[in-house]
Amino acid sequence: MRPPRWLSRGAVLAVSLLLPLSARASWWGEIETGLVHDSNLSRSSEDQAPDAFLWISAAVGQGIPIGRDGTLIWKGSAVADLPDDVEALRRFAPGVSVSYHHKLRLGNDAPFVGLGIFTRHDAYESELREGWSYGASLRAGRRWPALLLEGEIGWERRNAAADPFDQEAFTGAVRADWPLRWFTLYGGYEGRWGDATSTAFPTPEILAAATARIPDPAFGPGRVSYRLDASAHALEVGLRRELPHATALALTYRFERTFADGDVTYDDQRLSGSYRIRF
Amino acid sequence: MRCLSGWGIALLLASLTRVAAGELVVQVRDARGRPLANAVVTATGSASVAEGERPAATIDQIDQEFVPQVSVVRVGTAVRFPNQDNIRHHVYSFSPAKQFELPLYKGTPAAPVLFDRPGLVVLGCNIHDWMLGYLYVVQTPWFARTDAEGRALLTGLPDAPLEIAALHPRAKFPEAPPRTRWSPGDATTLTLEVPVRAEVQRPRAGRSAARDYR
Repeated sequence: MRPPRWLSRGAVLAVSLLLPLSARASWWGEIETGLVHDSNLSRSSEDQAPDAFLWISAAVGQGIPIGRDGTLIWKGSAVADLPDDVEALRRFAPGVSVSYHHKLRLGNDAPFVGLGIFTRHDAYESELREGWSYGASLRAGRRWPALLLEGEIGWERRNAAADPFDQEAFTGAVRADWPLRWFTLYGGYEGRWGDATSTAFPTPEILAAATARIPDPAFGPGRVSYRLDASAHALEVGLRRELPHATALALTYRFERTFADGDVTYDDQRLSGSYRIRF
Repeated sequence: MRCLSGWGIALLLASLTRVAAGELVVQVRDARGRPLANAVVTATGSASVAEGERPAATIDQIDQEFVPQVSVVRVGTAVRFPNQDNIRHHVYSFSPAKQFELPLYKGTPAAPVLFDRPGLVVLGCNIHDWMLGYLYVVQTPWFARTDAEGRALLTGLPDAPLEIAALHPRAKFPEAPPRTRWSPGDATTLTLEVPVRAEVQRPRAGRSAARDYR
């Protein structure tokens, strides 16, 4: 599937603007791997498909200082998901993001604002899901003096091979990171308002509420994927332990409840552990 | 033979721990009795103090940390802040004892920074928020920093009574550091206890990349 034309042109423009600046910036790289158990990979109220999968991501980027308080950050990344059971969700997703981070004054407790854009290609084993995602976000926060609080609003869109996987949504989040003696405790709320895709056996209520649908064998025969108008609300809590040599271990629990048209409500719980090395 | 070896080890230990005239070993411990590294020990008294030269000191930036994390210099000392990383740093301090800023740079800035008032100077980097350094600027010429075993060796002490104090960046009561009187005829080792707050992680990494997989 080809990316939208404006996205290709924007990427070329961004690269040509960044190249002259990047000569005076430092490189960094990151490799992270983890295991996730997801209680409801099908995002369904009745036909839930739990699964575990291994994922690995690699990223390189640069932080380019702009003036005293600004940093332009670009990052190229690739993520691979290897589900244990649901092979249709095997995925390879390369992507690029560019963000600008600005402190409102000097100091590590200075308030900051940030603006970011991203694009990503999701190549799934299930061709229905293959597509391009892109989005923009605005965030702001500060540290008091060790507790980091931040809020973020965003917009994202996904153009996929099959209509039900075309999605557009607005997002909002508040997050906190609290460094303690042995680890950093983090948590937050994330909301998403817009399209959601659920895969389940068809019911009259869902058929009536769906804005798009397609037969989808990813979780077994007879199921259909639907796009619904929905709002999703997630709470997340985790621990991160920084280790020597720029490595870190993290353990995260996330609970998400989605309310969709047609009286469809479903929950999802994820438990994940990850290990990261930064260069 | 075994007895001789034992005596040999004892003599060796005695020679290693011997303290010369005008020297004092200060053992600094936290409230639970554990050795406290990176404490600054000072000796002050009424003895006249030679002004002398103050050689420039150095605080490096290595692997995105201040090295050493805790330093101590005498008032009037110039300090260099060479950046040994291959990225740029932006060193600053808001502390009342010295407010300064070294905007983004690599290598060594042209001019060192002069610290001309006593007090604790907390150092930061405006790019890498986890970087924290502490510079104690003291009036006295007799000072030392404790090693990993919590020991500091004060040298060149005058033949006069002194007040020994211990300071630490995580001290619970920084306005009232532990102090004790010491005179040249006293024991050559003394212990000070500094109650400290627990050290917290200074996270470098952000959140995990594991998101949006469905």
